[in-house]
Amino acid sequence: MTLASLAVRNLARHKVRSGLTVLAFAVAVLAFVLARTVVAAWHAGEDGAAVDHLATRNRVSFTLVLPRGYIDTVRAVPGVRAATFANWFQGRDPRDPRHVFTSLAVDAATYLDVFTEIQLPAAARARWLADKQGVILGAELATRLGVTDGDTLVLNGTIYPGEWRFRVAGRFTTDERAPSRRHLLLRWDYLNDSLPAWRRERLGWIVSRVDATASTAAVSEAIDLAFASNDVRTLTMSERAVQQSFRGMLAALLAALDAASAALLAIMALILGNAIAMGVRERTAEYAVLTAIGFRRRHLAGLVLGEALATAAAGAGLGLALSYLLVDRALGGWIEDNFSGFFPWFHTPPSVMLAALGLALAVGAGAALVPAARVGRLAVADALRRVDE
Amino acid sequence: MTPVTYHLRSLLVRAPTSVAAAVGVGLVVFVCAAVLMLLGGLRHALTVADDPRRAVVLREGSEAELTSQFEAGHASRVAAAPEVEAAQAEVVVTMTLARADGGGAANAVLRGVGPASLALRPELRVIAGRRPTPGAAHELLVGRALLGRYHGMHLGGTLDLGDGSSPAQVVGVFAAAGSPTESEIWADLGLVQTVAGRRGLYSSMLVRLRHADDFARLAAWVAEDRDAGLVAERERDYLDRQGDRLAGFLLGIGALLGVCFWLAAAIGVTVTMHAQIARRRREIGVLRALGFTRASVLTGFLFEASIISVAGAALGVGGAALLADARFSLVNVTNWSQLIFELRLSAGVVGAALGIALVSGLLGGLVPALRAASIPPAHAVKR
Repeated sequence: MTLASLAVRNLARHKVRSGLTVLAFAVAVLAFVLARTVVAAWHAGEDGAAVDHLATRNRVSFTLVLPRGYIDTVRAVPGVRAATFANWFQGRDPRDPRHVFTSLAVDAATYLDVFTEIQLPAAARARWLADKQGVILGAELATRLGVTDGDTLVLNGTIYPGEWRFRVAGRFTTDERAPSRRHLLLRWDYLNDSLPAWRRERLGWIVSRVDATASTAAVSEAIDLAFASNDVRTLTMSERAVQQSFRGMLAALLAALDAASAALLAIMALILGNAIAMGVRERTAEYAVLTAIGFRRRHLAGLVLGEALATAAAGAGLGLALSYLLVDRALGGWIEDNFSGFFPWFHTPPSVMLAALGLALAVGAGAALVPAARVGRLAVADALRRVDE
Repeated sequence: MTPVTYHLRSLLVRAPTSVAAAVGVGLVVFVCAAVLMLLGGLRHALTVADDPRRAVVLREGSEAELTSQFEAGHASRVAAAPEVEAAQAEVVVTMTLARADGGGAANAVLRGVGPASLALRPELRVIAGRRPTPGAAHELLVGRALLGRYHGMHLGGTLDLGDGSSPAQVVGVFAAAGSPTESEIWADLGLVQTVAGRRGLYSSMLVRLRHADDFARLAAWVAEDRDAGLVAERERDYLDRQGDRLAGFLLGIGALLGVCFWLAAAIGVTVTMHAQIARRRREIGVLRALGFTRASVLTGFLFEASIISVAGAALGVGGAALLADARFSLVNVTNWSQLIFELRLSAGVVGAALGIALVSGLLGGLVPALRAASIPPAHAVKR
């Protein structure tokens, strides 16, 4: 019998207690993974944002607009390979007004040249370019809205009042983490021509793709410089920085989740430390016997550590399995369907799983330190004399 | 029930185990109490200025002030309604502010206000500096929640509104009883319209009715003008709607984590009590042999479990009390700007925390206590 198998057999002596400890540990691991998944999903947009994209917006506020002519100026800036523009539309499905998704009015002719991650069949693209009322949308969003190519789609405007009728020209797919994955794109010219005179000829923001050889910092400076003496000045940032500033809005909540994660680690340590300490206390006499027959102290400490690590590994494994079932099989899809504005992508990344496993094992080892040290200090005669307290 | 002193001393004899179990429960209570305090603070902020006579007029379908726009002509028709005692059309945009701690940027509401804006909100008091001089376009009033959080947000601080002229200066700071208005920057109506490129356009209109029950008539009056496409809503309902979306978000995350924490604690108590009882079979046998009934052993051990949970609750609530009045900033998704509010510790929160702790203690202690009760007196003599 090896030390490792002895550790496992020790656990099997109190099946109910060990089982419950593993379960409690697993629940704590599950909560930890959930908290970290929210944080990771909230940051997913940053990783998905293309590095060679620059976004130009009104310097004062992202909710204010730019004059239409600005697009031509941006296109003329050296280093800009392609540029396009978009406006918030933010329509709501009248059948389900609580479903919040992103809808943008975009320049159909150039938008896909810049957002190359959007994969749209050529036929659908041709239909979109030919039909002013056409929209394209992410495949998952189309399923959620229950529409397919050729269908009529009615949306209520939140920014632009009234009922808007569109025809679905096509459905696109993107890279899993791309922010545009669940977007709905309508044609800017259709929006513009339908608006009263005072709201026309305005752009929400401009997105440019920078030449591979050009420096994004220099190009963004050049763009802002081009408008420096205008009434409406601009602010140009990399798309990743834009995503980051959006994400920063939940900074306090993310900090709270970080605190909750730390509390969960402490709970894991308490659950495990308590269970291991109880076992050690009960087996004091056995450890004394083992010492008496020649086991070294490090063997005994190893025995305790092995028990803790085995419990932690079992708990972490169960917790990760539960979190996979909960997040990837149930919750994730529902969140993406209903809160795509915040969480276009909601899954547990492998890095979170690995971190949870690593921290669980580290906590397990840490929780075993005190009981292991106690075993190490045991004086044989004392231990044998001690009665059940 | 078995003697109280017996159970209390049992807990003391095994102090490390008891403390570990209580700290576990305490952490759960702390997290649950913090979530409840967050929700309580949010609810309080949104209802503190509750005045049944106030109504908000927005463009129909716009959901929030930020997305609403309408023309001045339509606004003056609403103001002329017979039910209206006072009204002020305002314009709302969001401003990107740099955080004072260098941690990036955040958005705040910039509200263009007119002569009646202050009078319509009696909860609003200027607590430092002064009111802007009427007609002085580049003077700002800022809500106290913004103070110190963002660059330029202090008395005498400046803010570049990007309109090409000199930056606007903060001349006063206001408090508004903790309402969301405290997270706003107020500037001259005309200035904000210019900055936003919305001359002659408004975002919303705040109305005070002559009587609270005039609302239905005002709503009908507003709806009558189909060209304008405006809609009136009680201010309370408007704020509730914003609160629901925020609270739903918080509640979803909080509830999920809370249930996990709670389960972990209940199981933790079970493990502890289970082990305690396994080691105390002989003691329990003696108690039974002395004549204590099964029921009294059961209640005795439930009592022991509840002592652990009450001690945990005290720890958790004590920790949560340290968070009281801490400021929490959350994005208000309806206007994409920061809403800053204080966490509130109320009697309800304390009661709920105690309840959560007791339920987890009693539930976790029940199965072990049942086991304890089933130990026969014969165990007293067995070794």
